[in-house]
Amino acid sequence: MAEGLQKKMQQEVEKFKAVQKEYQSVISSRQQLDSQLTENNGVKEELNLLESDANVFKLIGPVLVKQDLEEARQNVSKRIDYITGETKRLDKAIEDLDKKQDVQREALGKLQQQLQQAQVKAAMKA
Amino acid sequence: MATADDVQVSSVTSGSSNPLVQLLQHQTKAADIVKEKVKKLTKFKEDYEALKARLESLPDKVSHQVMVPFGSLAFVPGRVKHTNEILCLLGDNWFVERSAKQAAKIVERRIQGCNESLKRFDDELKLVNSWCDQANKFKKDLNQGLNILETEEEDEQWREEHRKRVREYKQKMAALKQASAEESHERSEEEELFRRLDELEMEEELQDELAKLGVGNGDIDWGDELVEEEEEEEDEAISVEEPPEEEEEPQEEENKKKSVRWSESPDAVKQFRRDELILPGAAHDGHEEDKNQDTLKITFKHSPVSSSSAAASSNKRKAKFASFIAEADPSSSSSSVVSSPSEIFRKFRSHTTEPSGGEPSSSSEPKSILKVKKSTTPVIEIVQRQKQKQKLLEEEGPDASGPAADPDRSSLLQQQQITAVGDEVKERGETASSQVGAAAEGGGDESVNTHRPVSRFRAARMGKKL
Repeated sequence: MAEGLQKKMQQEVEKFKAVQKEYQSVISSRQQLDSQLTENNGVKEELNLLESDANVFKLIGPVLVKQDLEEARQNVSKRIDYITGETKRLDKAIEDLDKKQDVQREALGKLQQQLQQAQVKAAMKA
Repeated sequence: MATADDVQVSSVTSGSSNPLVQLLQHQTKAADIVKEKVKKLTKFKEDYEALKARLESLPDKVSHQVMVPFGSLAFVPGRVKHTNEILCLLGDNWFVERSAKQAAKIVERRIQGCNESLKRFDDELKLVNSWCDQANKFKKDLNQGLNILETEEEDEQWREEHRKRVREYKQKMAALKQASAEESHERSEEEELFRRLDELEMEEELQDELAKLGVGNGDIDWGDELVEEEEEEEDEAISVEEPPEEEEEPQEEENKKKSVRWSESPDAVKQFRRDELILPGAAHDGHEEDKNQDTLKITFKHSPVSSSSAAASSNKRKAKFASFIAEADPSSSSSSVVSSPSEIFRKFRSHTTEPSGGEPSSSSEPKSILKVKKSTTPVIEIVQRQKQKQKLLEEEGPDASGPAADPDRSSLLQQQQITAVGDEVKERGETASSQVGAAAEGGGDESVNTHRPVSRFRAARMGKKL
């Protein structure tokens, strides 16, 4: 009985760890997106301050490619929108993972209690 | 901070022996993280400053002689040529070609951004440090045995201070109360006067209306005027009562309150509650408002003087009240204002006797005015009746204004609406005219309702004119 419980316990712990990892990764990617968002906002501000005849370049790999100012502005805006969308998606994912984690924790707790009870019983018997 | 939270999360799961120590660890870690960020940011700022300086010096010459780094280990002497063409990285792999000055402006903006971040980090650091300090404080207390108990000296000190503070607070409250009471009191007195004026105006209007409605019935006038006087009386009484409030002879006032209570029957639609008025300060306003409303609509309300005993008692009370008023505030009584119900009667009697030149029909004690209950007699009527009854009772002894009147009156009161014109007036007039001594008032009431009510006073006046 206790062994079965222990096995179960181990399984649950592994599940919990997996969920936690996923959670962490999602959190980190969210952070990344956040920094990208701030960066792109800065770029957008600077582009808006440029005169219309300024030369804008984009680094694509090792190549600096000349860009049209208006086009550049639009690209940056689109990128910002994309990033905000991704951020929202990730936020939702974070919420779900958080709930999952809680569920796992509860399960773990219950199992732990059971284990303890079993151990106490075993101790009493012995 | 996510990283700080991560640290905290991980240490929570790890668990440690002393929670306080653990807490301290978290906080110090969080503080360290913030400090790191601050360091990084200050370095950035320094770099930007240096860059700005370089940008400003670059266009000084058309081309600069420099040692160009070649690989990781070599330098090559070379020249920096296009000194005013600068490719600036805006972020996210976006470049823009700028002049030295424009680039310098960009750098300036970057520096400002750095400053703002630094400020935020500073605030965060302060917060974390405060947490640390608190935790350390707790730790110290713990080590000292968590002596939360105050020493006796401290306790006594505190108690004294507390007493002082409580005293001051109470004094302040008392002062405030007084101030507010005085204010409201003054206000209430003025309001009283205004209200009385309004009432008198109303009365005049009522009389005019009645005059338009019908002539020849003196009762209504009588009633109105009597009521008016009664109102004045009441106002007097009220104003008299208010100034002394509860300071002077509260007991007497209490009795007066009771005596003043004209309306005895609980069925009375509106009860003019003097006792309500005799509340101090704040209460006054509300009740006075009620009174105001009451008085605007109706001057006075009496419970039906059902029985002679009731009438007698009310009469006595009225007399008492009047006398009390006379005692309490003789100054307030003007020549026109009557100080007691009996005076009212006498006045009007004299008033009516003059024009008519003889004992008016009303000279003999007015019987209970209202016989008929059905009519929605104005309070005035009832009041008048009561007064008349009082007169009767006083001067002629127990009168027949009998039990018959009482149920009538009560029912009347029930229906009592404050109307300027009411059937009761008629009745009174009739009874007054048919006269007094008549115990059988009940008989007369029903017949009264036929013609328009005219107050007795009006009738008297009409007679006078004629």
